[in-house]
Amino acid sequence: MTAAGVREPRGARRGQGALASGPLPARTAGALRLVWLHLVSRRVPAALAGLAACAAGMRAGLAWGWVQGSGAGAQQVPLLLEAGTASVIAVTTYSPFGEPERATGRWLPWLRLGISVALTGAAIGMLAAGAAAARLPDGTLAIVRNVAGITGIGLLSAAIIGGALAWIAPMAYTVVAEFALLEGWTTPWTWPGRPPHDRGAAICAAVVFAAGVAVVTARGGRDWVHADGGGAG
Amino acid sequence: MTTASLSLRSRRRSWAGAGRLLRLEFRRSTMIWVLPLLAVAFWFDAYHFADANPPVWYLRASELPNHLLRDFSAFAAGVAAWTGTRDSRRRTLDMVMPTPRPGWARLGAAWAATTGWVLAAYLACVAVLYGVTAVQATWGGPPWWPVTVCAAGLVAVSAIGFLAGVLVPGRFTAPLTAVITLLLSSAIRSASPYAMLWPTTNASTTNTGGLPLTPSDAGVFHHYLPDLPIAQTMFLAGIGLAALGVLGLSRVAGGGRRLRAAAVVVTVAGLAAAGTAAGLTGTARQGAYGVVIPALHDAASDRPIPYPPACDHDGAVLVCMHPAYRAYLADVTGALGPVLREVAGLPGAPVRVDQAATDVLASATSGALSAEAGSVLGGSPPAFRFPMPSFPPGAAGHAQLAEDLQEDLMVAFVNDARLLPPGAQPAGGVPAQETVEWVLLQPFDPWAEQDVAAGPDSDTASPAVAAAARRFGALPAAARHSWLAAHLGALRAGRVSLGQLP
Repeated sequence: MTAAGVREPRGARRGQGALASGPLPARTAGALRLVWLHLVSRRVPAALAGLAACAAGMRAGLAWGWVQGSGAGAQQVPLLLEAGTASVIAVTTYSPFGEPERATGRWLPWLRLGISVALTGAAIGMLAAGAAAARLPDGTLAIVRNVAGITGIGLLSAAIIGGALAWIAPMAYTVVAEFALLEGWTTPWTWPGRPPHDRGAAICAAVVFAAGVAVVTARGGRDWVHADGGGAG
Repeated sequence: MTTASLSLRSRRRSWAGAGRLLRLEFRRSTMIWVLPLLAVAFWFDAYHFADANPPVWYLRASELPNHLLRDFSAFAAGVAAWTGTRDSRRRTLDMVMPTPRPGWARLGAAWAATTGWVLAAYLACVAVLYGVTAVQATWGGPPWWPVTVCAAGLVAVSAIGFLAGVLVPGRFTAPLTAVITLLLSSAIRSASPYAMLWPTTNASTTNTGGLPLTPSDAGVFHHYLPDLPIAQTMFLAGIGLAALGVLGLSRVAGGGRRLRAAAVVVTVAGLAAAGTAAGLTGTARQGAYGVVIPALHDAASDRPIPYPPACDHDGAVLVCMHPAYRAYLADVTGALGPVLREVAGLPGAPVRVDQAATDVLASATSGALSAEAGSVLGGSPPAFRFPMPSFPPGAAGHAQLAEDLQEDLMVAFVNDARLLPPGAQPAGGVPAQETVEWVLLQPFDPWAEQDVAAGPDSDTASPAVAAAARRFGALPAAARHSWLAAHLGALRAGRVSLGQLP
């Protein structure tokens, strides 16, 4: 048996080449290579493309009149796109390596933390950019709160049901939140239905985001797909 | 043993194998784990909205495309896409490609299991909704077309999602498919008739003219028109079939020349069905009681449904409603009673009140208060005919119903300028009409000023109208009554100015 057929992660060679050719010290180059390989293994470049697609959807929605007025109905499309970005972020927690990576990856928690926070920031930035120069109901503050909170739900579900299926929980929460929007619920746990300056809603969203990031940082997405030799579906 | 018996045994074994494969897929389907979420979505969304409606069959059934299909389609598409990525995700494609069973059948079994679970959950939710409605409804039976359309919609989105998973296998395929499906349901606000092909557009939005595509009392006074549901079912089934056909043509489906030929036939048949449905929908026009597609329209559907009215009395005035709304007869009689007593004895005062069908064309072109308004006072002896307005559930809803009915009756009695067709120039006596309406409604409607006398951009009446209302309202009831008896004709014709009011 030879190692000729072993596949390398997409982009690994590119990253290696770029780092090796530069004047960086070996330790820094190694760290950067580790980060790059981790990003590639989590499909972060594709995730950024997905986030950009959601931002483009926001821009299109505002331009083509999918978001009209300031009522509950007008918040549905932005909420869906916010849930879409949260789903994409949650799915990046899926690891293709499982136990071997956990056993050897000393920097893994920091990498997970960095990816979760950076992607959430990128999602907020991209959606805000998509909504720029147009009147979005509830404004950018609501984007920050909703994306962070729903991403927290996605990260928590990644820790429970696995990263690959973690998109389901943000979708389910969105359905309930839409109902809360239409029915005028006042509980802060359905934060998309609350005004952007509502302190209780912001605290709830922040707590859920912090919990999601903490759990994913410490444990990562659940690896049951590998544990049972294939997983469902 | 003959060749024929061998062939029969082989065919039986093949079917048994297919059944076993399907059973395995059903037992291993990811959708099983999503069923509790579907139940939660149904309870929070579709069931609560349906329960808020009066127990009238079509009204309740309209929540199926509006909410249930919307929620379920996101999960159906997402989980189907996830299932479609399976071979790629597990890197088992090379192992399953050489198996004797064609890839199309293998993939089809996985898709069928996912779709089967979604449909089972959907039908269970329909059973709950219809079961509750059957207990509460006082007339009619369950409409099956909304159920059929939504089932076809779920099959279509599931097939498209599965195809997306097979063709573009990636970890982001499933979430993005789910989001796009939800966006499709929320964002389509097109004036094009082709937008009606997706059922949630039909249920949740209106077309260019601002008309509801189907009146809220469809299936009560007139038959629920199946024209659009037939076209929608044909379109969605065609799209689903075409997606499955394309699946058979994909590289991962494998198969020989015969299977590919069959896949081509299925794809073409699906596209033909979808194209035909789209062509038919392009000829659709808005009818008084729903969307009419000439090629699919049955003239028998236009005939009204006979019914024995449910009646009650308020003094000498008979109030009759459709038996489907029997539960609201006491509310309607109680709401109209004070207005009927106020105008009793005046020329043109109604001696009978009848609930009428909502005619979406007439109510929109008459310039009435809303698309559902269309109340008429006329005939000999005079009768007030009103379509049932929409109202929210609970005590607040009952109060709003009473307020709307009182206002409709008063507007019809005074022949308010709001009953004029759009573009018609009102006579100069509109402020006097508004003043009389306000004064007559004020004793039992605290919002009368805002509803009938306020300007378009204000919650209060103009100072001149307010002064005239104070003057007219200060008169004893008998004096007001005798002035109205003498001047009602001129007031209705718009020939009374504010200064001429006593």
